[in-house]
Amino acid sequence: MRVTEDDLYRQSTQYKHWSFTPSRLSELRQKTNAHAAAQVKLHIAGDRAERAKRATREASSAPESGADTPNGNGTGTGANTPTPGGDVDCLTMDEEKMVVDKFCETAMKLGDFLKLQPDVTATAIQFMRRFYLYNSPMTYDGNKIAKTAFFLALKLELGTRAGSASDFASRLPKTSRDDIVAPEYTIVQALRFNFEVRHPFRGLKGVHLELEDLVRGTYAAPAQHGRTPEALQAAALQALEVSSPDDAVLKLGNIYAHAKDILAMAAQLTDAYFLYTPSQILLAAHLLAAPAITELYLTTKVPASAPAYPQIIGTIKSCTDLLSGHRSYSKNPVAEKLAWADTDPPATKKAMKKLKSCKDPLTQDLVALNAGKKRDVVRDGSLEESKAKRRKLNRERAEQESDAFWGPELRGGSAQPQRDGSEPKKEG
Amino acid sequence: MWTARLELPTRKFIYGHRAIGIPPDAVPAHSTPPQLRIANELTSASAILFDPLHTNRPPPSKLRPTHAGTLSIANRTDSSISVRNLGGGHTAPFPPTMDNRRHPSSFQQLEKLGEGTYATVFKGRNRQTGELVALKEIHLDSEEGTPSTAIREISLMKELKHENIVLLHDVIHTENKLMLVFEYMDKDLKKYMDVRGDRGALDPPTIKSFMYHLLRGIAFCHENRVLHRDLKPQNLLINTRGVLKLADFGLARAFGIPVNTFSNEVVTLWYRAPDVLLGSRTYSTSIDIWSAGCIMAEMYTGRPLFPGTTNEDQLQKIFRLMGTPSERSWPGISQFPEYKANFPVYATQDLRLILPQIDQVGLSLLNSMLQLRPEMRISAATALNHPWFNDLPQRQQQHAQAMAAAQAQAQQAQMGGYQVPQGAY
Repeated sequence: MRVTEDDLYRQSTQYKHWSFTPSRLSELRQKTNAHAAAQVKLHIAGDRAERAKRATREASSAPESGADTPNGNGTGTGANTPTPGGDVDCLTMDEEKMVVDKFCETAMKLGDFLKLQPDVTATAIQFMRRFYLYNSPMTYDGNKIAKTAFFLALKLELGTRAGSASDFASRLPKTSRDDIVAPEYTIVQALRFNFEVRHPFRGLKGVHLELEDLVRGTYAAPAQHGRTPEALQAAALQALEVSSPDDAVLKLGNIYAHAKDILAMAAQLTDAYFLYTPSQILLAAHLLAAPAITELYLTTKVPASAPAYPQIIGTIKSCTDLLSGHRSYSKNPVAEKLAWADTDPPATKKAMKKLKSCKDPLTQDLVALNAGKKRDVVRDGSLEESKAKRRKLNRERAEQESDAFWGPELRGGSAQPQRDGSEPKKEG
Repeated sequence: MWTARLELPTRKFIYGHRAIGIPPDAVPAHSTPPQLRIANELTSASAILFDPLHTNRPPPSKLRPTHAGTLSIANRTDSSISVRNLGGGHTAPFPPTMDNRRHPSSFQQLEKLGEGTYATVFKGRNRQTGELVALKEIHLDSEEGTPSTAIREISLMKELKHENIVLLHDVIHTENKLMLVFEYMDKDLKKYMDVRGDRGALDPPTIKSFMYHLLRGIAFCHENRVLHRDLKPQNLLINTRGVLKLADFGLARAFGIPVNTFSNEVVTLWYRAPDVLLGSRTYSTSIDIWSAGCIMAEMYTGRPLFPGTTNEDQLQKIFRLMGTPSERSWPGISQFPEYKANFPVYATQDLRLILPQIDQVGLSLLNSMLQLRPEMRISAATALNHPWFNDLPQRQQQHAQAMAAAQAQAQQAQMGGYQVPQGAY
């Protein structure tokens, strides 16, 4: 009647919706990248056309006047803005992944800076990784998404003790409450309301407690495959290369701390959660921290002679490769845990630089976008001209799109009044 | 330190309870014919598209009926659909296709069933299937976004799929509200006792069946490392087939090893375990078992077992019946923050005095649930195997199924199955 842990995991949304084969994962990313690149090109072109139109209309004698370039919105550098026909060089799928990884590293530093519990930071980072599976960093800025992902993770992990959005905003540099709340809708939607993230931390603690029992000779798991607690204890001491249970417990403590670091960093910053189960990830981290004792531990669960054993150990080892391949991984625990993140690899730097010139102009101001979606009224006095322009452009495009979708029936005999209503807007 | 906010006793999103059902003849007479009145209540494409909130274009004068359908996303998983997907498609990377099952307007909103601090529950009907649902509407605070209670409830309900836990069909997100679509349940246990019971008291076979359902739901939560923390008759829902299901997971939370420290502001006072009342912050699954015991006794009498008014009064009511614990009967009790050396000393009473209807076997189960010391309380999984349930037809059925499954598993093991690592996540 009792269901196994595996059965329970297979019912989780993490397994059902957020676990992938490597090929499916890259297929998804390819799709997201292609769609976003098309949108970016379309929107930048629209932005440029609008600006060019305005430039000629204002009868500016110098067509390359820089006065039109809106500052700080990231639509383009001075170099490519005035050339309406110039191709936008969008991020490739691989570059997008580097950029997302960088966003997640920054988020990890943010969690460290805010002194948040490792679980909260890990949940926020996984929210980001899930979010960017279906959204491109060209569309949504990672630093903005990160702040809201953290607030969501706080609400999830701490409930009513999470504090208010303004409290949280006040702990962050240059952040308002609106910055925190506005992107929430976009994020929860991308997450498909799957908020629960199954982390490997608790399982690691479980393995650690069982190993402590093992070296003390008090291990009493259901399947020991014929070995007595004493025999297991002797094998465990040998695997740990110590002579007394007390030394073994001490050593296990260090191994646990090391494995926990691997889970807190490498496991968060790679695709580990998408490709492996929490138990595979934690066993891989433990294997990296102490191979001999981890293999012994495994044989207390699955005898080495079992047909499934090679497959299990093979999967764990492939996860080991993924984790140890991350630049945060160190063979021995280090004191300065995030020191590795101070410098970026050249390829990441290049991708981050490239991102600046291929951001989707329509989705950069998430606060205005959110407000605009709620109430599409142009408050002329309160909005910058460039923002108002972009909003108008956005609105008109949406109108055209909805017309295209809903078809001619909508216009019916009343096409004329609509024209009258919308034409002056385009002109003026 | 965060301060824990107590928001429980005021909340009551109750599906069947306190229903404000408006009889049809109570509606004031209208000049418009009834058919048109219904038509006016339905929203139209033009009302959505030309809502002055969203556009300053004038609505077209004439609108011929067209079948437009609604949108959804290819490759979607649960709940990827929201009204916003009707818009520019920024949030939905994949092209829309037709499917209108998930649009809020595909549910007809019927009478209000209950209201709480963060949600209003309506009865609803799926326009396509005619299926009844409970629509829990959560208003989104423009300053705080989605309430944390809603996030936690959705988070857990998406994971907990079990026949004794109320099913979350879907989540629909619109601009300023969140709608949780739950399976419709006829009434809550409180209402059921009021309506079906004899002055609130239920008959023994019904109690046994409900207790079995309750414990199965709790056992499933606990297996999934989830504590409900707010079990009470108002949160237990009964459908027309007499199946009891756990609902309202707004206060539930996941737990793990090691047991974290939790807020002690949980569980409505009457169903709160003595260790929690004493200020324990390291409670675990046993907290839900205490509540289940209180509920079992209440089903026999129709009245709450320990209707305390304050924390102190609640403890005293418990001690008066279960006996005042001491260091001898409960080692370590004096370490609890709320422990007082001058608690009035009561002797343990026989529960049968206040529950004359209960049989001997049932009493032994009840006693094992109402243990003052949390570590002495029976677990939900063990309680399900209690002999009291032996004569329950469903139990016999499930037992037969389990035997068959075990046999199949044994066979598989012979063919090279293996034991999975325990405590792996």
